[in-house]
Amino acid sequence: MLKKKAAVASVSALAMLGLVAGAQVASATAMRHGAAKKATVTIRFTWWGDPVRNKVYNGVIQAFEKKYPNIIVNAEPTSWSDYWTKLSVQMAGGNAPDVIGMHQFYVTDYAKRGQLLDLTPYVKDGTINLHDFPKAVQDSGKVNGKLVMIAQGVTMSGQVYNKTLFQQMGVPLPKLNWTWDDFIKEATALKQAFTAHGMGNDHWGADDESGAMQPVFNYFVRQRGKNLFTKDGKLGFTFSDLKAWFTMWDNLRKKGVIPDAATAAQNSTASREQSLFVQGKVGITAIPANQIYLYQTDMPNQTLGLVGEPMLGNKSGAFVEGAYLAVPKSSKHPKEAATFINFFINDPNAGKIFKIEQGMPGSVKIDKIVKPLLTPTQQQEVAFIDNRLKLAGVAPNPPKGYSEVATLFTQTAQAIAFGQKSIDQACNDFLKQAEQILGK
Amino acid sequence: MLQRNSVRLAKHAVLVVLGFVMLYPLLWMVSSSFNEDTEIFRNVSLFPNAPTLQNYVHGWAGLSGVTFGRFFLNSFFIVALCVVGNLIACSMAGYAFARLDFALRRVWFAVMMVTLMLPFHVTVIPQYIVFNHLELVNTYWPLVLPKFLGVEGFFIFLMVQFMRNIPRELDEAALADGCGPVRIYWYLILPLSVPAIITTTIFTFIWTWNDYFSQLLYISNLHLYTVALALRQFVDTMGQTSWGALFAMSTLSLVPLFAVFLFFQRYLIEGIVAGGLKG
Repeated sequence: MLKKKAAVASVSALAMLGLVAGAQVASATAMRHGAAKKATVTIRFTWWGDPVRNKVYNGVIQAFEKKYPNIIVNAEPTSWSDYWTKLSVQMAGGNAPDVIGMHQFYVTDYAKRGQLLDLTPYVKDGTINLHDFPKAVQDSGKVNGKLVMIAQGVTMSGQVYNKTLFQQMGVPLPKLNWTWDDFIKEATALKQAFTAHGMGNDHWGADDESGAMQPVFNYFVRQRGKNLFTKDGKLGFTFSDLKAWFTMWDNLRKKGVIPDAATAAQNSTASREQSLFVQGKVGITAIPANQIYLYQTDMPNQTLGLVGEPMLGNKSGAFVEGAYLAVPKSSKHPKEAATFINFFINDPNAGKIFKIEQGMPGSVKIDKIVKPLLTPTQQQEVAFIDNRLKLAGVAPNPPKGYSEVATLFTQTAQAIAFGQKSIDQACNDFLKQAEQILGK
Repeated sequence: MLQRNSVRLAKHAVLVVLGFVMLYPLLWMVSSSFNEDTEIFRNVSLFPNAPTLQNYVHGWAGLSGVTFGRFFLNSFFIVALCVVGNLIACSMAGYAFARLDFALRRVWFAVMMVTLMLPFHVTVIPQYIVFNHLELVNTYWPLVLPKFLGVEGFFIFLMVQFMRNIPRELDEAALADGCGPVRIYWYLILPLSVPAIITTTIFTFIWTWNDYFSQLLYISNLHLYTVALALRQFVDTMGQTSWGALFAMSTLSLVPLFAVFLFFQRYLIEGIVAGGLKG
């Protein structure tokens, strides 16, 4: 009998251990709720970022909580690649944070499923003030006429070049408004100079950008008066556009101006720190303008220059890109979320903290406040975006299935580079498969 | 004799070289954790030019004011609960399947085996919705609670296989002495299942420690972050990756795994062999 008691006691002791441990979790939760009770509302905010970027965002949140003591913002940052995995589950589960970082690549997916709140009413009642936003920037947040996201930073794509390398090789520098012919000429001249210096083996004029459907090929087709996708989500370009594009890159590859297929394929998955450009092995590569300071940090001994995407004649094809804030429909505190977004984009203090973390501020007013606070590299970036913005239009947001098509595009480029398919055959295959993906 | 020695020498040389090739990435990570951030990708040698502890200081400082100490505690907390949960639930379920006679036993056993084959990703969203309705998202409950309910089919199976090999005669003897099923479980089966219990402990420890996806989904609050989540925060393709801090903290995060493995290694092999041979 005694033994039986002991057994029961020890089993229940084990169970207790579990319960106590569980209670600890519960009390930690209760503590947070307790803190929230004093204030009226707690909203959750998620974005993609690294520790450096997170500090900036946390600064903005602190400034917000100071100004609005009745709203508490819980920060839930995640790194870029995991961000979208997590967000899609949270959205499906109806538990997405109240304010979410949004991006053009993904917005259509969420908007078409009706998961994003139309912010127009909050703009109308003045909760969100867009008076200082240029129209192109405002419109870039619309899907099917509904304002589903607001730009926290605007950026434009460009080509970064290694000024030091160009000067050492005695090649004239690329110009801000250059054409595809100039691009080919510059890259070829640089490669020839490398060869003349006996470095031709592992140095190239430019990166292989043939697999980059976004943004470089997008510029290319827009210069030809088209878009990657039509408004109703079909392919916007034709066989001849695709063939012209791949033929141009294939010629460069055959002449050794861009890296061979194997090197390029390896480079496409390398981290920025290990990329050919940062190693000083290619002279030109495509980047979003807001990332130039990252490259400059990685290359302290080189000077970098930023020029536009090559043009076709005088057609730039430029379009607005950037990072946005959105509110999911499932949010229980849309009003407070809108208040937070407004603070983020319009408050001078927020502007001073956030600066150009995600590109140039959408608001012209904040832009003026921020400009004097920037480093020379950042000023170079802002000047560039400023200049490009004048040329920019709005590109239709990519449809559902976009990422599959983009992957297919890269695979097509690689199949051509490795000589697995002729250009004609590769283009035909791409069109067929892309239509299948989009037709789903 | 000489010839045999030289053959052995050659064998060992090959093994050492192969071992080094396999260990190289790990060694490189450990050495890089003592390198300056800018040096990491320029220096391929295993010996840092100017060894520094800066990465450990930076890394330990953690994210947004929460230090890595906290993340380690959080990870240990979850791991401890998961181990306890798995041990209680799986040993009980295993005992039931191995010894007790109840209705539809074979069917339930088959159902349990099917859950083993069901890919985790199939149940992700339904599970998330359930926990969301229970308002348990952003707590440790979704990570810990299932372990107490015996959802780890693998460990149940392991226990069943092990317990089936314990001679029935012992049960009968205990029965004759007046033990009921609970006492047989507690005084007889559990003490004899120690190798299986230790195997379960080790694997639960390693798997939970290394688990990333479910922690990513369910935990958003920085103060609840685990080591795996915090490490991933150092890497961001859209921004600056703090490689040095990442490597430093990754090295530290391997220490508990290494320690557990060293400590339990003997039992681990015994457990698998015992389970495998007789089963």
